[in-house]
Amino acid sequence: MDLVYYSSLFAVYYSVYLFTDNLNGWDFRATLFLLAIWFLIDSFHMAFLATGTWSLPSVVNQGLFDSYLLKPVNCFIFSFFNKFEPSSFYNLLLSVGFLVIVAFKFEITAIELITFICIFPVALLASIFLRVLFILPCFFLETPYAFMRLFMTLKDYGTSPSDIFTPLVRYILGILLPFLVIASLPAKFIVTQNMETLFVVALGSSLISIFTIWMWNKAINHYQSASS
Amino acid sequence: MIFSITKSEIKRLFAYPLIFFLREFLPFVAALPVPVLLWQNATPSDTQVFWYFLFSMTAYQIFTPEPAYISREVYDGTVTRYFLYPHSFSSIIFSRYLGYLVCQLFLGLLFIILVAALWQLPVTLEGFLKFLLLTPFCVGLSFLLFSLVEAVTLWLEDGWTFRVILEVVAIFLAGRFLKLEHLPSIVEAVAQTLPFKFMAYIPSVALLNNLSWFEVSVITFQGLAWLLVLGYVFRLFLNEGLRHFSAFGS
Repeated sequence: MDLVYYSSLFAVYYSVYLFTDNLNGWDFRATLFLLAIWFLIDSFHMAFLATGTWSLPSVVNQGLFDSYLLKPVNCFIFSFFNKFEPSSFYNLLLSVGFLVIVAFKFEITAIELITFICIFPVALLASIFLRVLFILPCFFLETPYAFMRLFMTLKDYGTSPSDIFTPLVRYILGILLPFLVIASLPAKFIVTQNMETLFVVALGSSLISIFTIWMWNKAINHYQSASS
Repeated sequence: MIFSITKSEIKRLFAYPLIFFLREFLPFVAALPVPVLLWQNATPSDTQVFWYFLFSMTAYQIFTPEPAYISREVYDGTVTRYFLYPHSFSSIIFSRYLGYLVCQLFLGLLFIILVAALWQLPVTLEGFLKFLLLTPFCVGLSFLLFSLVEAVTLWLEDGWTFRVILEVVAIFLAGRFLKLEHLPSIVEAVAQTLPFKFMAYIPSVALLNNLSWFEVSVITFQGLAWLLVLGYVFRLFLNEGLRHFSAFGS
């Protein structure tokens, strides 16, 4: 399934670059870095986070979340990282392979490699917190899937080169709802080393982390135990 | 007491439209700008990009209503209730699909009217006639494609994967994220032959009057051929699946 998704995304951009060499400053090389980062983060999510994320609404609605609260580990980490999906691990390997191919084919420089190693954990964290934020309404509503569906749609913004959007939309998607921080802006920073982009990545990921943790605490306080 | 009942009724009054807005309308509207901006930047000379994606995504939204899926009832075992009705199973699920389709059509038209209030629609009478002529094939083939995938659940525990694959394939081969003309020529030839294009591409180019009457007649025959083939496969598939299905209580 994921392989089909990755292939179709690659095919869309391959088709786009048949018509142009440059998408508002983004060449095919930069877009391939974007896709490589996106695939890597998405496969990480599918392997480590997906099962916990998808099952959380039913866990909360059925009152099973009580047992999560009683575990002697951090509740946040246990809620989302409680199941590893071995079948998705192959996707992770494939994504790493794609990144390596892109890096070799387009001759990644040492600075770009170092930048990637530094910025990737930040992008990964922003991605985790964004996904968690869209699942948190399950603590307040009966049908949280509407937000998850919205997240699935907004994911398309994360896979797009940031400069196709207007400055206002870029600001919203970079700082307030930082979908561009997942892959688009990190790819731009790796290629251009533009400090303004790094600032937006740092600000966007910090804000989403703080807000999601604040929302998580609110959600836990709002949760009414099954036995209460 | 009265206050709490009134409060809960007001909450309910707003909850359903809000859930519909969040679940159906907002994701649909939010999905539109990405392909539009992508292709407007890639092909600045193409003035129909916005309208193409508006129509193709609206068509896809209308022709593939999510509640018409049967997998949940198969898993629950509640699908057995349909065997008690004096109609065939396929006719029941098709009529249910049509019911949802009417709702989606109404909302889709409402959305188009809203857009038309802001911009002038580039739809001519001729384009609209072509669209009307091809719509039965779009409806029938969208139903058959999704129902075939849903019927997999009569054998397998996980039908969701196949549905997602179909949705992803639709991005590419149905023209949800790109026009079929944008594909490399060999892939375009394949996409033009397969039935996926009836879910998004055909309704959109018909409305925009980008098809000649000759092309409409060829597509009509193509649609008819696919309807017969997929209809036959679906019938075989469903009969075999229902024989295989071990219902609750049996």
